[in-house]
Parts: sequence; C-alpha cells; structure tokens
Amino acid sequence: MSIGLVAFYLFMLHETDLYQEEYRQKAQTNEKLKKELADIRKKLKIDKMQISLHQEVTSANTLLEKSIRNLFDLVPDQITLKKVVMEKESLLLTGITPTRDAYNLLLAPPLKSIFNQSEVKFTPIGKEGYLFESRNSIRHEGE
Amino acid sequence: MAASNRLTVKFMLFLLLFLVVLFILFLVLVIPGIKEFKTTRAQSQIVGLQNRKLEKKIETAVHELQSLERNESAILKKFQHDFNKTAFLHFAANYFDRVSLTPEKEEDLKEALKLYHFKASVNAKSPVKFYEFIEGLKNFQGVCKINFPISMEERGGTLNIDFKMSIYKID
Repeated sequence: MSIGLVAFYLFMLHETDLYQEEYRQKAQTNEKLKKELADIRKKLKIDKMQISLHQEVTSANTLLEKSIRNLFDLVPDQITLKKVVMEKESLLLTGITPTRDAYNLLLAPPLKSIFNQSEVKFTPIGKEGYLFESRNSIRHEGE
Repeated sequence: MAASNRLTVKFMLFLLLFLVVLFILFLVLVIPGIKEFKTTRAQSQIVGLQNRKLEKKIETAVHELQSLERNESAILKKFQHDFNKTAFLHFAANYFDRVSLTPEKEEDLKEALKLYHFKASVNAKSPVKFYEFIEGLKNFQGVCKINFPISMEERGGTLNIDFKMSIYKID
C-alpha cells in the first residue's frame, strides 16, 4: 500500500513537471504574443496618426486658401492693394483708395465684421487718392 | 494463550504504526503534490487561454493594419518620402516665376514624426497662382502645410509672396 502511495506521489511529481514545462513554454509564447500585439498596435496608432494629421494639414491648407480668396474678394475694384500681411489673428493691408469714403464704405465694414479691432491711416498721394494702411486684429476678452 | 495475545497486541501496534506513517506520508507528500499538480495545470491552462485570446487580438489588429495600409497607402507613402528640395522647386515652378526655399529648423514630434520648417519666397503673376499652388499641394509627394505669416507685396508689376511652410516626415 505504501509502495502504491509512493508510486502515486512519483507519478504526480512527473505530471507536475510536465505541466511546469508546458507552462514555461506557454509563458514564453505569451510574452512573444504580447510584444507582437504591442508592436502591431503601435504601428496601427502611427498609421492612424498620419492619416489624421494628413486630414488636418489638408483642411488647414484649404481653410487658408479660402481665407486668402475671401480677402481678395472683399476688396472692391476701386481699391488697389499694394501689400497684405496675414497672421493667424491679424491682417495688415496697404493700398491705394481714390477717396477715404471708398475705403470706409466698401472695405472697412467687411473687415470690421471679421476683426474686432481695426485702425486705418490715410496719406494723401495726389491725384491717385490716398495711400492707406489698415491694421486689423482679433482681440480676445481680457487682453 | 498469553503469548498469542502479546503477538496480537504487537501486530496491532505495528499495524497502527504503519497506518500512522502512511497517514503522515499522505499528509506530507501526496496532498501537497496534488495541490501543486492542480495549481500548475490551472496556470498552464490559464496562460494557454490567454495565448488564444492574444492570437485572436493579433489577427484582428493585423487585419485592421493591412486594410488601413491598403486603403490609405497614398497618404502613408507621402509621410515616408524624404523631402527633396529640387522636387519641391520643380513642383512650385508650375505656379510661380521664381521660388526660393530656406530651411529654418527641424522639430521632433511624437511617434518618430519629424517636422521640417522652411521659409519660402516666390514671385507670382497673381494671387490666383498662390491659391492654385495651395490646392496643388494635395498632389505633392510630401505632406506640406502652409503657415502664417503670409506676406504678399506688389513690386514692379509682380507679386512677391513670402510664407512659412512645414513638411511632415516619419522616420
């Protein structure tokens, strides 16, 4: 009976060793799989980030293009622009207007609808009219 | 008779001792052995199950990655292109009479993404060419973003445009 018990114990030891070996192999595979999954997910994340970034860049360029188009559409035929400096939240326009009124009636209102701060300086330049320098910016509350 | 009784008592004592030893063996060896066997088997099964789940997750992720790389290959290739100044000047020449490009700085962004900043100065016949250039950037080999400030000045009958731009690249 005791021999049977010892034999059973040895059998259990053997089976336990087999499972331990199987466990070690599975644990190694588990580490490899985790690393493989992490690598694939990282690649997926980078690819998605590129696609989203490309979308952002395309949208930003399109928006910029529209802003420039709109700016030139704002300018009436009587007024000639000489220089435009566009910043993210400001716009400097330099040009020639036949009269102050032409500027104040045709160009100032659309600029005021976009920018909450607008300043203009007129310099007479003889028969051609006035050289104007218009500084426009968006001021946020608290600035 | 008395001798027979003593023998019986001795036998009973030996039997009892044998049973005690057997019980101790059972307690000390077999029960912990069974416990360890069960624990090891359960651990192996759990890890096996985790591996099957991981394999399924990998399969799904690979499928998603392949599908994304197939459908968006044009966009992904744009990020892999090394910025080629000559190619850019050639591209910009379709819109402008004169193009000059000055590198400003390089910036390391997240996930191996690099950003190259440039200052561009061009001469154009009209602002329309600038719109067309921005529109045309969709077909340029790299990912190029036009940034502020943008300055446009009429000089001697031609329009001089200065602007900033950035090129994105994955290393």
